Amino acid sequence: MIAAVPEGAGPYLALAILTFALHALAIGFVVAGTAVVALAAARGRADAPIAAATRDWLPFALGLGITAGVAPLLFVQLLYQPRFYTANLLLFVRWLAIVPALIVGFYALYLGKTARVHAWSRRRRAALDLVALVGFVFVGWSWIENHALALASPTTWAAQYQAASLRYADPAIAPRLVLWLGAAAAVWPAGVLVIMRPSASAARGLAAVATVGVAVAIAGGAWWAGAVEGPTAASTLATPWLIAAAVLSMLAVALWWWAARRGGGLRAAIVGATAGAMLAWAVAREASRVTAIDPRLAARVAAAGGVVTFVVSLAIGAAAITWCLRLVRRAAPPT
Amino acid sequence: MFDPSTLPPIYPVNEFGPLMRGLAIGAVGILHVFLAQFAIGGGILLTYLQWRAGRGDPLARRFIASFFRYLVLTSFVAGAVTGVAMWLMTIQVGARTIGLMVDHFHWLWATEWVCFAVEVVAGYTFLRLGDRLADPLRLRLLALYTVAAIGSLFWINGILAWQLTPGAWAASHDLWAGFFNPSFFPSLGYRLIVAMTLAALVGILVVGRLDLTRDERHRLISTIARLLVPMLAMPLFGLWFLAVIPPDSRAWLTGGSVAMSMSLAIAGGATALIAAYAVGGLVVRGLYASGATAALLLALAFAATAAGELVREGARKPYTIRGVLYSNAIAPDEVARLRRVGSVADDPYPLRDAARYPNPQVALGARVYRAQCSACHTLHGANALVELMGGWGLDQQRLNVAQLQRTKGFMPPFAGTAAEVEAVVQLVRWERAGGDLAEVVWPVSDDPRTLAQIQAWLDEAGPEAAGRRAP
Repeated sequence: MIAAVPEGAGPYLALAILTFALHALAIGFVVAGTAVVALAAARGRADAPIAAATRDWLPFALGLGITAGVAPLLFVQLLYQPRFYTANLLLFVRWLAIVPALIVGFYALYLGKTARVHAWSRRRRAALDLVALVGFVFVGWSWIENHALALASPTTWAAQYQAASLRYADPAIAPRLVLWLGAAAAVWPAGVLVIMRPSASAARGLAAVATVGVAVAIAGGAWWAGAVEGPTAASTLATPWLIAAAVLSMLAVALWWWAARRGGGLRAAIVGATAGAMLAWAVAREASRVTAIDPRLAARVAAAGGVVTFVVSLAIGAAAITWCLRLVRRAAPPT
Repeated sequence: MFDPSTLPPIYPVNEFGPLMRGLAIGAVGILHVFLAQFAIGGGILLTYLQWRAGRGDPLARRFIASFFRYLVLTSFVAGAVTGVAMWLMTIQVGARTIGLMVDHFHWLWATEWVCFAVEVVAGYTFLRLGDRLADPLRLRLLALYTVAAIGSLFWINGILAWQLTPGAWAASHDLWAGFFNPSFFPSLGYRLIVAMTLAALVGILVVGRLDLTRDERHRLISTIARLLVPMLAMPLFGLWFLAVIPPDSRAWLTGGSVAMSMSLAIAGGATALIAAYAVGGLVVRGLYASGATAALLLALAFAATAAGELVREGARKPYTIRGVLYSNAIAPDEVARLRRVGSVADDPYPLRDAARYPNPQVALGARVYRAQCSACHTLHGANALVELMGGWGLDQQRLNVAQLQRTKGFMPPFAGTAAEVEAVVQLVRWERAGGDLAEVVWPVSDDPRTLAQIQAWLDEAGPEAAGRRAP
């Protein structure tokens, strides 16, 4: 994959991958977490410790996910600028609809935490959560569709434009959606380990969710690798990273069940393996389109400067965020 | 030798029905700026009040908890998501412009993102833990939030100001010369005061919802109103801004363009009204302000913000990036070539409604309109070409399109062939005659003498923007 990266694209690609992985971890927690709280609400178990803790942290996780997502949005504009902009324009209002979907989902999560909604019937609470969930899945689907359309040929773009179609059909869309939904289901249990210390029986339930999530993600990844073809040489470049992601995901599952048998522990290892798997999924995602990086990137950014400013600000920002997280740990350790 | 691989990308063009594209981005942009500036001012207000709380002001502490919830629910949610919307909408209305900005300033944009990330984490940390922390720690957390929020404004302000006044960057392409451009400091100062004003007005609104006695409310309002005092410096920053923008931009704002002058008048007038009440009434005379009054002032502030953003956007015309890119995403140094080969010769996107046009010339006009005019005009909606040009005579239409930069100085030069000028004129005339609904026979207008006359008009005006033609 590295050999296929055009000159000057390396730093942007690395930052795009790292920040996207961070974004995907937070959003994975949100998507699967919203499904969990919807299910818990429908079953009248909204106050169960894990569901309650998840609901409590969902708005923050979404805020973190959106914030983290702004960075890869910036780097994608550098790496794939003509393709990314063209796909944005072709999907037009359908693409712009992700904004109201996010706003509605965001407020639904906040609303779900209020005392007033707490007093609602099971059905109404679950319906509110489902509204948010549908919105988030719509956003994910739209991103995948945009990604696929950006990789299409100019002839396809012209036809898409002429047809004024706001949907784009591509064999890679469904498997990728399956992959990310599975990855989300695998991330949420790890997120629960970060925000609380689940009981032994709850940990077994979390392990089961993580196992199903990983199985779905791997199935989606295999389907995707088989479905993708064409000038981006996607399968050749992405397959090693898909395998790495699958291995790390299975390692996370093994750690989950080992911890369940031991009655707890291994939190850092499970969270680390899950994050590592997400990072590998993110690398596979970029590897599949690395040959689509704008060949004029180096020329376009030749006059750009400010990298030292960014590095210094990143160091200061990381220190400030670490201080905040320490404050949280000290004031409110996971219970 | 001409190398097609060096051509800029040509993007598909969308239209927003009766809305011109500028209105679409304006609507999202104004909302986002309003929310984002509130978030910054909110941080300043909270830090100030926390400082007071640490010195034994119990009212300040009660206010902080309530206000912060509003700040989170508006700025962290709607503010953050409309920030994403700004990216997406900017791509819709000016893909090439935002692409150039990203190409030049991406590391500073990434720095701005770091500030935003710190702002969000500090804000949420305060939201979750604020009531469990001691005063000094609360003050530090709020100060961190505020510094990060101001940092975010600092970086984005430099990039936006560069669009209007690139300054020494135009010659050197030095990043910092572009960032600390002539309008950087007046814009930053103005925006910071706006931020404090918005936060103070929302603060007064929130006070009305707190369970306090009238006397307690009055004291709290008097405290919050101190953030309105810097409004007295707004004329200074406004005049500074006017002094450093290009002379032609200043001319549009000060009478050259009715729409822009009115926007400036609304921004200035609404701001003056708020300042008069806030400083004269609340601070000097110590008046009480009800929630209704605060809401009214906030509505005025929204009008001022909207008009101010229109001024900032309008002042850039005919450019989106001064001297680099015209508002229709054509670069000044591309005009001469496009006048030879045609503005749509490289456009790979077909018309979506090709069948409705009566002949190939009108269809060409539709493609030229899409490429060159639709950024700021519609055919029948806002700023409609059919209405703007409809009353002109035929030769007047040809002359005015061929010499666009002379017709109105804030328009870019026409970047196409004489045949394309005629095609646009025929499109507008056909649309005015009823278009496909009128079912009229529309002959092709291809008299060589007409085209030669148009070419002469094009040559006479030259390919440069108004006021930029070489002597």
